[in-house]
Amino acid sequence: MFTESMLRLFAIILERDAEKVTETLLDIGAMQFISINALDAFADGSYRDVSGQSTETISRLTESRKRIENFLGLINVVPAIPPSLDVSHVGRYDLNEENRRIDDLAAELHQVRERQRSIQNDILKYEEIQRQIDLYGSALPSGSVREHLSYVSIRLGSLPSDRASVLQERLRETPSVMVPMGEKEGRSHLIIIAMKRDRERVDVCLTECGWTSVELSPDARGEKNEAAAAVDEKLQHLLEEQRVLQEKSKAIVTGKRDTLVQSWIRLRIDELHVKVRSSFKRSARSVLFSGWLPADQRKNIEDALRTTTDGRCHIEWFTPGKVSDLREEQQHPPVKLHNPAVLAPFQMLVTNFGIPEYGTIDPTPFVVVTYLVMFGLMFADIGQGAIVALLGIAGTVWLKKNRTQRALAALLIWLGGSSMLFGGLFGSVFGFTIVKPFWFDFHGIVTGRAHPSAGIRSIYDILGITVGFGIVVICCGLLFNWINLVRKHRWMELIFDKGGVLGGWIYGGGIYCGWYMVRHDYRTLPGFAFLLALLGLPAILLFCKGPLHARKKRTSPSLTLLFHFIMEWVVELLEIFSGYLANTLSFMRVAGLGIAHVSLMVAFFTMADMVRGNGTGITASIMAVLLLIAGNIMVIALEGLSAGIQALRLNYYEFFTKFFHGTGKLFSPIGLREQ
Amino acid sequence: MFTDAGKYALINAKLRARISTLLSEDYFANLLKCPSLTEMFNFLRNGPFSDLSAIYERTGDLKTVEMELFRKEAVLFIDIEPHLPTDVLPLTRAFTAGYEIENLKNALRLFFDRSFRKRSIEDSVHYLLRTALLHSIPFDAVINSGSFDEIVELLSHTPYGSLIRNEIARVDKMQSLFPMTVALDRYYYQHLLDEAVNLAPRDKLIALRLIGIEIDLQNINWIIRFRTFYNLSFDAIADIIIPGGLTVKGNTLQDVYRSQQITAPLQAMLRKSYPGIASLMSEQPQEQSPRLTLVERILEQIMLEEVRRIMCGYPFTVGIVIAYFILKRLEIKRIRTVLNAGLYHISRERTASLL
Repeated sequence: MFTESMLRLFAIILERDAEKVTETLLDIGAMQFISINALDAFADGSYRDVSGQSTETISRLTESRKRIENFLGLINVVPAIPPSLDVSHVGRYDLNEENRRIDDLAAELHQVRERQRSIQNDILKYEEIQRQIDLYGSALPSGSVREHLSYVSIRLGSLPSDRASVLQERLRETPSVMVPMGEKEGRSHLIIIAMKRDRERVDVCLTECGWTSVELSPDARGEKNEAAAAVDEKLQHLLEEQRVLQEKSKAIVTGKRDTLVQSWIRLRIDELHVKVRSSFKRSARSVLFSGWLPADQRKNIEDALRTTTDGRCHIEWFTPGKVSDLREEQQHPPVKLHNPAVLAPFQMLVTNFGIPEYGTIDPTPFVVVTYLVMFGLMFADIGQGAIVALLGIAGTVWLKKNRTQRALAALLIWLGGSSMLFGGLFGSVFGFTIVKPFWFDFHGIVTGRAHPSAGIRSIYDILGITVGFGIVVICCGLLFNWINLVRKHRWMELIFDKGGVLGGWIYGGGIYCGWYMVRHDYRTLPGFAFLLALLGLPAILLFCKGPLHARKKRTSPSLTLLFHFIMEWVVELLEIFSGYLANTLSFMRVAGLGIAHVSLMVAFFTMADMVRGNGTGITASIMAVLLLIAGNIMVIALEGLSAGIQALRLNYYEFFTKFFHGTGKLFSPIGLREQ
Repeated sequence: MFTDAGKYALINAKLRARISTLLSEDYFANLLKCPSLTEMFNFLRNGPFSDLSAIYERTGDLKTVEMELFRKEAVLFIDIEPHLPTDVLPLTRAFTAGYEIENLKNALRLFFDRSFRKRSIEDSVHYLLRTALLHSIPFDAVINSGSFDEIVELLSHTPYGSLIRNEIARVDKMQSLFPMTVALDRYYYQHLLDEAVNLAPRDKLIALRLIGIEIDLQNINWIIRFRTFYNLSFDAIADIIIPGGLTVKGNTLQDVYRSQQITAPLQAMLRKSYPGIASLMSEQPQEQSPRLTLVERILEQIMLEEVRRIMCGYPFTVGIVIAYFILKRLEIKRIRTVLNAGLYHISRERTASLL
């Protein structure tokens, strides 16, 4: 229910044990280190760094590690330190050597890219020829404007057969295509396609190879298609070559995958080593360090340290709040939330809002209930819920790498389940009311066809349910606030804050008055004595807040101060009355969206009936079914999103604001397995 | 006011969301740490420019990647056109025309190199954007035309045909394409100003300010280029200077022309309006090209300052639309700079100073 209890460790070890202790702490991965300089007793800077390794070393290691990660990304490999890895068995390495190895890989890939670039040049040239042929045809004489615009030329002619291969070789550097037309009397007949701008270069090659041009007959124009096909073939060949090179670049990285992963592990471990040791300080022969860790890790860490150092260590434990030797900014322990993995999606929603203050209530388990109930009320349908859940399941299978996306997919499963549950309560399956509702007929109420004897009969009843639910949520929020304030010994806030006892009293009174009015057909308020006791008395008591504060701060009384108190009091009262009223009525949106959900489905059913009614036979029925499918898809997409957002909004602004102080800092221990 | 809200609410929210996803300084700092071009593309693989990475892995060709960057920049407004208020469309199309003109200028340069200077255009001819932006321009035909008259004919359905026709004689006489490119640039800025003037009063003010800075940059660029490389007199330059600049106009232009310290005339003026930026003026490079870079940086900072003002000000104006364009364009420019630095092995520090 509360954030996990933390303890602060202060330890002194011998310098010779520092290396082993670092490895042990990294292996356990449960400690968030504090700079020793933050401790008052050691703030004078008389203790030196242990390793002499600076932030520059860390950044060099990080840079090299990230280079490897980027290369591995090419083959979709995300490196991680294996859980079973024994750190002591990881060999030492030379950072320069690792960098040289990465540079070699980069150079190897660069060569491939250079080759790709050269091929790409050819591809662009052939694409240009192809584009020209497509746009204007070839420059086969026809006297048309199109021919005039073309800058591709096609030559038809022959040359001695033994010179054909020589010509091919000579034209290799020029974008051109040779199309063999056949052989006759020792001469090869060819069509040569090239760019007009390369004419001079091509002419030289042709002359050297004994080329004789042939006048184009009208029949020869039929060869144009063949020429275009030859260009296409050449292009396809180059594209294939390009694809092979792309694969080759991946193959190069794949071939070095194990080496790269090993290098990454070594760099990562050393990076973490340096990080841990940069928070150590040493005197002549001893080393000091300190850090926060979860209270349940106390025995584990203490045993490990004593075992690693053979008992040559001094350990002290400090409880938060009683620590006085820390600088102000370090006095607040980091916050660790302690929820089962299955609730990770809801914890994500909470941390997205803020990190709770240390020692206060972690609202994750409550958010599970509030969020799911709100979503279910707004999006109640067995069939649509099942689709949402299936999408979530697909997401968890496909989105394995991204933790946030995976959590969102898991959230969809929860939401789908909630939607199905409420769909069962309201008897809705893809908008059809084919299941008997376990609670009430939502569709019937919205369409005015509800059974008159049912308990919930009108939209007002539905609105009442959601307002009632809102009151429960707000009351929970207030209760959590009081618990937090008691735990933090903030007594003044507990009594006089907007979310304190007096605020809660006024809210309770307001609810009673509202309920009383509704019970009396909106005509009568409770009696004066009731009103005075429920609203007047707490309002008057609230006035004491200002004077009590002033007394605490020993401010001398004055007329201005009195005016100040009155103004503050009036504003605060206005805030409490209007704020709580708005907070409560805000929950009516849950009913609103639920009604909108049903109304949309009803609209689609009406449209489907219209389609079915106007047509005859199977076509009209198919159209109607397609319309209903489209309607369901639209409702799942739009209503699902709105319901999710509105439920989140109500949690954040109506529930969390009552008790949640997002001032905590998330616990981030350094360990081999931490991401 | 309510009309403005209705007009801009959706596009404003959309563009603000997009602006929030622009690459951060940290991202560029990490990108710069990559020691080679290959590794830069490895790094880009996990971000919004992953498509560039895919192109490079497929082709190994930075120019192809740059062409894609140019395409991305050119279609910035075209992509959001369906969400833009109709009275803003002429202005955004005028911005898009800038890219069409840039592409056309490249095609004209290729034509000029091929037919006037008899140079090979093999290496550049493939890197023209052939997608139609506002007009269908047959770029291949332009490049392979026999004369400017043919080009005029090919562009007769666009506003550029007549502009080119008017400059043919001067190009022939000077044996340089610059009168034609200047005419196209002048048309672009004039067109922008004309469209900005047609906007609603509040939008007009904002648009004119931002366009004014663009014009300043162009004018200074021309002054430096024409004085240094063409040795033109100020009177000759004054004829081509575009009116409508924000900070550099009137006597300041003359001062910029005459001053050896190009930044000096700007300094006093900037101290008044943009005191935070005036500190950049302490650098005084002697070479022309770094000077131009410095002035570009200063005007870029002014532009960013204006964008910041727009982002903090009344939200329902055309400002957010132009701000998005400016920021996105800057992001693309920075990516281009870093990638080129990677190709030419320019030091990390030097590249960082160019961003």
